Amino acid sequence: MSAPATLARRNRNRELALLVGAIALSAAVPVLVKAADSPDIPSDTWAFMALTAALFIGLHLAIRRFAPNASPIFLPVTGLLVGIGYAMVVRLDPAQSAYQGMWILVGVAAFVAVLVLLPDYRILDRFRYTAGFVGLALLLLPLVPGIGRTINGSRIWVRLGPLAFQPGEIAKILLVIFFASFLNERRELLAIPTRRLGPLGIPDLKHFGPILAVWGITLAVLMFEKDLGSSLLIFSIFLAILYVATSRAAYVIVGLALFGLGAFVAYQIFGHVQTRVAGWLDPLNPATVSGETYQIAQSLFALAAGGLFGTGLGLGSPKRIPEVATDFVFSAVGEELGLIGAIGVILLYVGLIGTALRTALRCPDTFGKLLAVGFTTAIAVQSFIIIGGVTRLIPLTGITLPFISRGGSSVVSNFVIVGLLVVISDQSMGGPRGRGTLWRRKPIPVQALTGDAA
Amino acid sequence: MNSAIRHLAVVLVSLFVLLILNLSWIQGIDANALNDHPANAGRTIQREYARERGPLVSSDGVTLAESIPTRDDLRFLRRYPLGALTGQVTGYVSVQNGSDMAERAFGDELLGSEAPVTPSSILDRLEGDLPGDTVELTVDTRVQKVAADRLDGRAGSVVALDPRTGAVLALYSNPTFDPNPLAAHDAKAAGAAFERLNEDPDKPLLPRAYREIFPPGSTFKIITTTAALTSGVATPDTTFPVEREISLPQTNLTLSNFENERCGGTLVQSFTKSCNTVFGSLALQIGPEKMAATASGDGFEQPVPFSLRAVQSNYPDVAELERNKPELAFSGIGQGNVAATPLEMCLTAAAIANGGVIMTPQVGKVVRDPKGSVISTFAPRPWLTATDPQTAAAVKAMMVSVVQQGTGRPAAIDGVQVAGKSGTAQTGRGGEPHAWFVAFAPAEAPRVAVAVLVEEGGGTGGTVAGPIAADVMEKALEVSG
Repeated sequence: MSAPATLARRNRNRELALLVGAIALSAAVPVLVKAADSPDIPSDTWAFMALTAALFIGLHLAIRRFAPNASPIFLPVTGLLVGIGYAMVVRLDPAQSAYQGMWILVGVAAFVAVLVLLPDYRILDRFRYTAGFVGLALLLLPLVPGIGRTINGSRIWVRLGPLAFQPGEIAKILLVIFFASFLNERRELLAIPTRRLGPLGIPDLKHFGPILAVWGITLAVLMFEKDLGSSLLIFSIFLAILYVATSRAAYVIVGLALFGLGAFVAYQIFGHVQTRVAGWLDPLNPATVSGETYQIAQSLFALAAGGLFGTGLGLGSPKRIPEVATDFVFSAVGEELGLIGAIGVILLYVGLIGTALRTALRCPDTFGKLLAVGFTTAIAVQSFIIIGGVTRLIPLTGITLPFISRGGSSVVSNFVIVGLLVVISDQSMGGPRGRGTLWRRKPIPVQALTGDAA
Repeated sequence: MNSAIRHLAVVLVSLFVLLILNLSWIQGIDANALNDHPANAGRTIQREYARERGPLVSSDGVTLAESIPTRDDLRFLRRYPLGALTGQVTGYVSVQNGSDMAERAFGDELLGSEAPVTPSSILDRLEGDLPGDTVELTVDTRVQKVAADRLDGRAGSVVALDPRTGAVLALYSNPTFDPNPLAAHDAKAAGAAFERLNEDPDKPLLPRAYREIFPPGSTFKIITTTAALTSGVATPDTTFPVEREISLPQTNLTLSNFENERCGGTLVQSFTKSCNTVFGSLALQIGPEKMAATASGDGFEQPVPFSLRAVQSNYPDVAELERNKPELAFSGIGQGNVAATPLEMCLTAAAIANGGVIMTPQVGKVVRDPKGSVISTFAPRPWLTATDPQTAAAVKAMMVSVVQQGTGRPAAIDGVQVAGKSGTAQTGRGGEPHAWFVAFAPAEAPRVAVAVLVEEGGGTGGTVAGPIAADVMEKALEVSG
């Protein structure tokens, strides 16, 4: 037996071992939530537990078959986050739990589809401009009259027939592909310093074009869709990829300055931005605590009520927080699972992000590295923005908490992201891919697509 | 490129470290402040009402407050079976009206949040129906009932406690209130009940026994005597002139004896007959500093560490007494600007009973979990040292003499040696004087100290308040075996 095959088997066996814990928690927790309400165990409990276990095992088998070399961390961590997320939907918005369950199934299908249909992530490099244009179009789709919907002040929803979704969640993936591909091609050019400012090498001014363009787009999102969270997220993803591609800190400094300028302008123009900042600075102000800053104040009260160990699932009063099932779900986790549980969730994200960045480090080609960096930043910054927002570390900007918030678009897109990371991981750890894919195609030599190895 | 990825990793992980630090601050350190924030009252009440509040029980096992399951949102109705008899001890708890007294002081225990977290307590909580803890109080309903019966509706207060431990046996004052209407779930009815009590000119919500101050009159002579003995200004045998009145320095005011009688003799005789002339001049001789220090050693001008939240008793400050000598003389007989709660005067008697040491007054006795096992007990703690044991013994002998042959004869109990001091205090408003009696028994090994105040009692402290004090002590001695 060859060395990579042994490694693959060891990875998959570790994954299975970790999964046992994730399955047990994901299957048991929603049942406990229901038990807090009534002493009778619902009759469909065993069916639910069996389905949960089957889903996890199915995903594991799919990885075993189609991405055998991938890191064993991705699936258990993602599964546990999704399991906690489903339990929170059952807890906070039980009427929506079936709907959420359906979206999780769609996400799982999308994850498997990525593994099966994408034999090599480098193929994505070929769809650079398609991804860029479709991504941009999706991002701006809610502005189209007739199908765009404004919900809670942000115009980020699209309704087509019975289906409402946030195209920004899918745009995020396509824009990562576009940024990674575009910056990978131009990275050497963009990295050339033409002058120096102290320790900083400053590239030629014309190379600041792309960053200005993306800044413009995100500003447009901010101005017209009033979606602070997405605009900050997309800009951060771009900046992270640009920095990794060029290693030029000058871009980060300029980027942060541009972001600061944009934020300042937004603060001057938009009342709701001023409200958010006021809520951040003084959430318990008697004048606003039952008005504009009610939501953030209730979030802090929920966290305080949870204390170190939490009230226990189903035993707190998280529903006092408006929008608790979506943007504020983390506060409910903090209230009912306590500081211990909340830190546990944060550490799951850290584990996922760490695994994804290790994948980027190990990936032999630069496009793959940038792709992995982009997806990692997407999950990391999005989690940070919303957790930091509801815990008053930073001003609140509404965005979903990956895997945990209720919401179809979010769950599906995050499953796709993890699927893509698993594919990159598989190829980075196990050399040529292809053995496991449906087409059994010949391995594509690394050099043929990218021309170099890092 | 990999070093840039590592930089990115450091930045991203730092962000999450910030999240954890911030969250630890909110949930670990700032949590109590947030929980107690006024804007957070709704969550607190919702949480408290979702659980069955534990009962308050008297030391003789009578339920003073209990939670009855209801079908409405609040789930449990608080009921006070003895109503007005123990209203100013139990206090009340209600969504509309907040909480007060024992319901407030022992709120955490009654909600069970003081219980240690164990695996079995977590399972109990998951089962959902575990009530809060039971708080057993030191108050004995039999003594409480004697106090209420003997006051017989007159405005006044009775405080009885065990001088050895500070355990309060009876705490009653008139007018009082029935907490039941305040705890009603009907928001309008509960609010109206509170309004009515709050606007009543007789202030039934105010527990006069520990939150209202009155001139203590001659009961304060216990403190003046203590100051005289410890400062060396007088001994029990020091003789004072027999006279009707003394003239006061700085003015042409005079200080006269009760009903203008001629009064004096040894210190013991003067104390027994409660001669104002003697104690007025003694205060002038002792001087402001020593008088103020002794009053403060007895609990005046001090925050009282009483869980039901007592108000502070007043004694004029040294500078004022230096300036105003007549005020100093009046303070020696508990008049002028001296004002004390009945609780404070009970503690003054208790200090003498307990060899000079005042124990912290307590109404909490023991906290039990719903299964009856003891979670915590309220251990006796000394509060102040009022004087030394020798002085306490000397004052005790004088107080025995008061009941044997002086103004306190109506407070005598058959077969028990009682030590006491009467007070008949001018209110400064005209009208009848307040009738006071403070006492303890048995004098040789005291188990109960008492203070009785009948406001504008229509007689002397000895005749009006003395018999009440005797009956309350007799019952207290009987129930304590």
